[in-house]
Amino acid sequence: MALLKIEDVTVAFGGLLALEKININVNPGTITALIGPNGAGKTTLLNVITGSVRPRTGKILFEGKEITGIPAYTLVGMGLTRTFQLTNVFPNLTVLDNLMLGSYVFCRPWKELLNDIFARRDPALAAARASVDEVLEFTGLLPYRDLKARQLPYGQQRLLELGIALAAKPRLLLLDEPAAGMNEEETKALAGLLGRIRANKVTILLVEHNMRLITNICDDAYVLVHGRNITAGPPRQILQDPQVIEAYLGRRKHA
Amino acid sequence: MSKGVIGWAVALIAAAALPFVLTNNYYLHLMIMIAINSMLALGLNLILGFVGDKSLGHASFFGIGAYAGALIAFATNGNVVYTTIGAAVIAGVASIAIGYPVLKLRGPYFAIVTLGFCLIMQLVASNWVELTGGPMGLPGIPSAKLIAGGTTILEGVDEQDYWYITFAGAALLYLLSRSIERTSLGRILTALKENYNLSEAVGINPFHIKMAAFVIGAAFAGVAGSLYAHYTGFISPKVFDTLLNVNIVTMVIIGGEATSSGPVLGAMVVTLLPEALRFAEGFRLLIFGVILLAVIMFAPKGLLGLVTTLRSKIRKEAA
Amino acid sequence: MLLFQTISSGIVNGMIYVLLALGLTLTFGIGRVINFAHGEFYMLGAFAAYLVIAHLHLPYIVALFAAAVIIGIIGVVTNRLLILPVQRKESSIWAPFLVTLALMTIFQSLALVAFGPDPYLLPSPFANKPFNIGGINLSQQDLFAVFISLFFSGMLILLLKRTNLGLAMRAVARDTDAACLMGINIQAIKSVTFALGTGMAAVAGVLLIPQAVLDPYVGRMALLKGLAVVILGGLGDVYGAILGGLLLGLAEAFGSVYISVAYKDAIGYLLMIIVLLFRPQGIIGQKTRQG
Repeated sequence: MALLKIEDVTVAFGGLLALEKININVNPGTITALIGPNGAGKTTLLNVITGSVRPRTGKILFEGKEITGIPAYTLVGMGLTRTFQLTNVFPNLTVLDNLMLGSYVFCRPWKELLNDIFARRDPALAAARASVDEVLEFTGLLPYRDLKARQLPYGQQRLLELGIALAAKPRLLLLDEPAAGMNEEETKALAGLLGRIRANKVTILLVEHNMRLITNICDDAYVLVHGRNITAGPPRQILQDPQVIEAYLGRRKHA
Repeated sequence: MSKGVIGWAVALIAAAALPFVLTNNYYLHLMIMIAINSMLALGLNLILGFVGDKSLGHASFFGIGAYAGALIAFATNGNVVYTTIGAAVIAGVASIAIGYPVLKLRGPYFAIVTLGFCLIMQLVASNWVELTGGPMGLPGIPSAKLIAGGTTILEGVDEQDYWYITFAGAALLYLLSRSIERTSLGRILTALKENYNLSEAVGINPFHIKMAAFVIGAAFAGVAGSLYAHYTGFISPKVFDTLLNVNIVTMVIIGGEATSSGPVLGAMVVTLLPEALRFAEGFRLLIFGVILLAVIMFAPKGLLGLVTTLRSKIRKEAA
Repeated sequence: MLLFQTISSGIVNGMIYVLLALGLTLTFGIGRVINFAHGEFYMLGAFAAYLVIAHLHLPYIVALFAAAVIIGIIGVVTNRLLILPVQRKESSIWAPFLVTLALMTIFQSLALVAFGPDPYLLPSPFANKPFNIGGINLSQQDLFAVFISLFFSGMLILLLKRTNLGLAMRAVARDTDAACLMGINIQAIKSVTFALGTGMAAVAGVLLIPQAVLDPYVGRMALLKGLAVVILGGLGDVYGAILGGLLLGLAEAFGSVYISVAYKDAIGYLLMIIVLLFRPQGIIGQKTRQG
């Protein structure tokens, strides 16, 4: 059974169809890519999954349960987290605090407050800390632990963003262009990291432009053009599809 | 840790010794007002410092707390446990009623509607004569008493007693505020101000958290109001004064937002500065306004922020 | 008859509130500042007119214009010296708001120092002269205020819609950065806006005070009414201010007659909270922007 199932999702802004009858299955333990030219509706689809955009028709199923319209803050607790297209961290908080916020689902803030007042240990906080330590180790951000997020170099900031999403220990991770703005070296490291995330049984749905990254690590790919899903399948195969080449490179060159 | 313990020991001894040093009751009165204002500023700081939206109606909850405390005092002969907790609860409940529509608003709308709520409360206090005594107010509010098993153990009689009572109240709320600041809650409140979308993405329900900050802030003001009612023995619709709203905001801004010490510092400045400027007579509010303006323009992070900036500058020069 | 009397006094008061709100809504829409010192400009305007009448022995109408000009100039200077500098700093979007809060204290205490706490009477040739049409009682001063309010509303709409200056103002209101790229002098536009806004506050003061008394504290109620109107209608919108003003005037008139006079001043805010529950941007306001 698919971990995430997108069924017949159509989104319209005013009279404009942003997404039309999209069907996507994300199988557990895979990395699935969502590709397509700018404005194809990829980010909109992520927004539909995390509840900030309401589809006109269709529904989203996560682990067999319908989650259409459920806000992002509830989904985190259900095991689904996301990152954003532009770098999105808490700039004036330390790396540690950023990740602690990432592990917010484990915290019981009111109990923690009571425990703090009576100077007792908070078990939930300990669980959150453990998750954060794991992420620090896993992403290699440990040396930067006490720096403020805005003091990190760009590549590390993107890594932190990923770390924040991982700290909630999701079963499904939605990533919006994680390699954007990264150099080749950083992209390679990211590919390695994504592979290790998959090895940890976290399923990934990825919006990406970097074709090499996609062919290297993805198991499945869906191509969106003008809000329509024109084809799907293993990345290498898809990239040979004339429709896809046309959509990416334009009509004239291949006419 | 031990440094903190020493700090608190010094503060407690200083607070206990204060009435013996400040034998003039007027000075003691000012200290009491600092304690009450600190509670108000600490409460508002939770809303404005952490959530980042400016409330101009914090005096509403002070006033509601004062009336609730006074009425409970009449009913319980001034049992301070009932009055403070009752006032905190009633102010908190009132804040839920107004917070529901208001917290969804942002920016200027939030500021103006909270101000409007305070005005409505003032008119209610002036006109619901059976309950509030109307414009004449409620005189003869029983003094604060600690009652156990029907017998009064302690009673607030003079300025010295009320200094201890209000200091204890302010110290407790300060500790609570510090706890909020350093646990997950504090981190969440800053997160909402720093990056709203990401806050939602990590699992924070912004509305719940804002509401929580609003309710706790209002409850702080409720406690302040009830202790004020005990202390003065008389309250009138003036407790909902518009100027008080502005003054509470001023305390938080002057002291420095989003820390627990800032509001206390601000409460000291806003309470004492007009007194210190007494020599200027008619010009004293003018000078106060100009000083406030200077702080806003030249120390946008408040006096506490100014101290931090200066300190790091000095350190840099030394290095 | 009571119904007609209520409606007409509601409309009259409503148009007077419009006058109060126009300046506020303009400085918010274009200058991005909620001017909490608006009531103080209103109060200072009335005092300026008082000085012109009492010491220069000039007629009321002249004093009205003189007050508008004097306060407009004070407004520009305040904006240049105190508000624009803090607006330029990226760090705190709340600084301008706090500056106007401080100005509220400063102007009020200045007036206290200069004029003392005792009330003054601002004489007007129209004051206390009744005006009857078909059994409906209004005062000439009210009608004069309504006339001026209509005049200013009309002029303001013409200015914004039909002139190059108005076009530039609207451009600044919509997108400051884009306006800047188009070569519009943002600071000059904001100064003009502030001059207009504070000048209109002064005019409102000179028109309304003759019906009451003048002391350094009159600004507060004026500010509260003005804020209620702009929030009802929608911040930053001229039509919103007109609609909000009329709505408030009528609601208060009916409220005082059919509910209770005592709660008259609360009606506006109750209405405001109800409106905001359903339309957080006011009745015809634009979507809120953080600022």
